[in-house]
Amino acid sequence: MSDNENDNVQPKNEDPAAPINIKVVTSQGEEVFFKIKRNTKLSKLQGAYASKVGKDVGSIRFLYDGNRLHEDDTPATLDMEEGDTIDVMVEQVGGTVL
Amino acid sequence: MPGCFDDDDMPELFPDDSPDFHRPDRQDDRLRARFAPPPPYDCDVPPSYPDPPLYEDLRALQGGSSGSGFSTHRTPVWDELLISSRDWLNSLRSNSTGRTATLASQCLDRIGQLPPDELLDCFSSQSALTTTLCLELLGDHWLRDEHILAGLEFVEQRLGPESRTVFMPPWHMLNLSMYRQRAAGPYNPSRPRLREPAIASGHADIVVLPALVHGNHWVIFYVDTRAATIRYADSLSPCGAPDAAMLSDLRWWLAGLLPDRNFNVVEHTSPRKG
Repeated sequence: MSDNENDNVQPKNEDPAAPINIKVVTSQGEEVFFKIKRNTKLSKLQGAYASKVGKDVGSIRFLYDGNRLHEDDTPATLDMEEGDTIDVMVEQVGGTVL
Repeated sequence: MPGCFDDDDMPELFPDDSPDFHRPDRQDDRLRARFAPPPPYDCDVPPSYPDPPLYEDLRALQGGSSGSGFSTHRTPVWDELLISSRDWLNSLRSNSTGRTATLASQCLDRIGQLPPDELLDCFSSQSALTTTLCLELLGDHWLRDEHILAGLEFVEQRLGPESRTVFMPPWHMLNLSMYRQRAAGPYNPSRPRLREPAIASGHADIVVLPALVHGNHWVIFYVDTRAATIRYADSLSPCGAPDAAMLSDLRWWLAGLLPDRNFNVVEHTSPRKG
């Protein structure tokens, strides 16, 4: 989902075979673009991204609209639109020394 | 999400049936450290935030707020987790009485039967809490965002479906920073995000937001939407002020959801260290 785009609503492409462009963005603003069919599992995108950055996919959090992506999510099930953004961040760990 | 905890299953967080917990002749350092009363706070002494046990995989995409001097540790394996969990449960069983001791015994009896890395379906797929993460919690490992989210879900389940308290996930504050960088002006997403309809429609009186600061320490923001106040709790720095950028992002978000309110920070004193 993009911010502040209420006046730019486009008709949705409902063809499940039609690819859409998805942007994966880190908290530092680095962007990687993916073209993916609407019925393709986003886990494929996650794996490709992790491979691209050379990290274990389990160590990265993929979020769409603030929600963590699930194994079976696809652009169609999430009602994603052309140019939507997936946020990516590292797992957070905090504590104190006992 | 259906609740999965019965009252009868609930251990007491600080068991009052265990008078031995603070006895000086008890020599279990770990237990004393976990349950000892907090030392008096000195607001003139700056807090010390320890280096985190950063696991190897977590170096990816690490944000700029992280401290320096990280050492890398491999992710604990199942057998090590079982040992540390059993240590903790044995300590608990030896140093407590009543229901707490009984629960510790029951856990010790069953812990060996746990399958590694299996999702616990009484928590949401968002928290993705696994048996492995549960064992981390029983040992001395630091808290991952899955632990924090599962803890919030636990409280949410206890409060019940009529609760007017909303818990945001532990990555929300980081998300806000990202949203704000992209937005040209006020917070105005093209469609509502997680939990936002309840807040914007006035169905949430309290919004609880955990956040990671200094790359290694969990703090919490507590927003009272009716009083338009923000409280901040940091167990390592109870007199400290919230991170200015985080507070600014939070106000930006709240202004987008509740534009008729001007949120002020009010003082909060952390009840205990940990």
